[in-house]
Amino acid sequence: MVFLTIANLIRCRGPDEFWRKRKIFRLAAHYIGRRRNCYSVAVRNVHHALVYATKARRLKKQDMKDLWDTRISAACEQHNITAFSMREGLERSNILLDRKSLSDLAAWEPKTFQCLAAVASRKLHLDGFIDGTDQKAPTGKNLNLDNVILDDWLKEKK
Amino acid sequence: MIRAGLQRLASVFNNQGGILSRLITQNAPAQHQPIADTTKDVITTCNKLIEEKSHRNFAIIHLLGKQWRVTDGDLLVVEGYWPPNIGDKITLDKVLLAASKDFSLIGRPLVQPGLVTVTATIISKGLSHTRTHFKKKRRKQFMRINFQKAQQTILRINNVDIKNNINDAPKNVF
Repeated sequence: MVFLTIANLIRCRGPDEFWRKRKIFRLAAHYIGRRRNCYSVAVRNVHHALVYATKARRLKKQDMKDLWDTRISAACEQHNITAFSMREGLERSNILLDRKSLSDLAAWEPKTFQCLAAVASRKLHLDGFIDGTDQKAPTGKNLNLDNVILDDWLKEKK
Repeated sequence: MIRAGLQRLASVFNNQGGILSRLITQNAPAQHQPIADTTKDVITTCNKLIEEKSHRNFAIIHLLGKQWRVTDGDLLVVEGYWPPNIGDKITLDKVLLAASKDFSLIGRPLVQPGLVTVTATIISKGLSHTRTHFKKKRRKQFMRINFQKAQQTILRINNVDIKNNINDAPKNVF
């Protein structure tokens, strides 16, 4: 078939109907009922699914961040320190762990996390930092800050 | 720098109930000691623990903008362009935190170079599964589909080793 004009080229319907539909049916193979057997329904659902999959790649990152935040704030609550002041204290004492690794420590290495919480709160205490976040009913245990024997370098300015 | 992580041991001293209490009860309890002595005690105990190598270490390393908690025998999948080839042995130098069962060393922001060595081997390089990038607008005759694959490198962590004693002068490793 030879197309001499562009007008004819536009009208060309592409691949054969069978192959065009099979592409969609393959992606719909694991669906149930008419969604997998009936083309007009299948194509709609496949398009939706692909759009969701594209958007979800970004959403997954946001969800992970939320999960990490939840874990960190839960672990901070145990030690009577808010997640905000934990972050501030670590930042001030130049310990640059991110959410991912902090939540990892909170979940799997609670003793190490406890050290970090103690260092952070000691640093804030030395800096005279007041946490404005209202913590009405602290449920955790207070850290014993006498154990933090790091005053020398915590007093250093950054 | 290293002392950052040692307060946990100090807490063990004071509580008299920790894992180490067995080792330490013969020594004077730390409560009435001056701080300098406590620090020394903690450091010697830590050094002893390091020499014994009784427990597995883990470390948090910084690699290509991400932080990973690694221990011996871990597999890491690194995504994106990264020059090393298959079979290369590399040491991951940016160690933010290293710890074992009874102590943790916290870096500000990195622990002292040469103290902790994390060695890794590159096992495979390849591409990820195909990701479909599909956009569609309703009633606007707009539909785009693209396919993308990312480069992936798989690393095996050979060992996480604490080499020197704490508070030794840093050896010039670089």
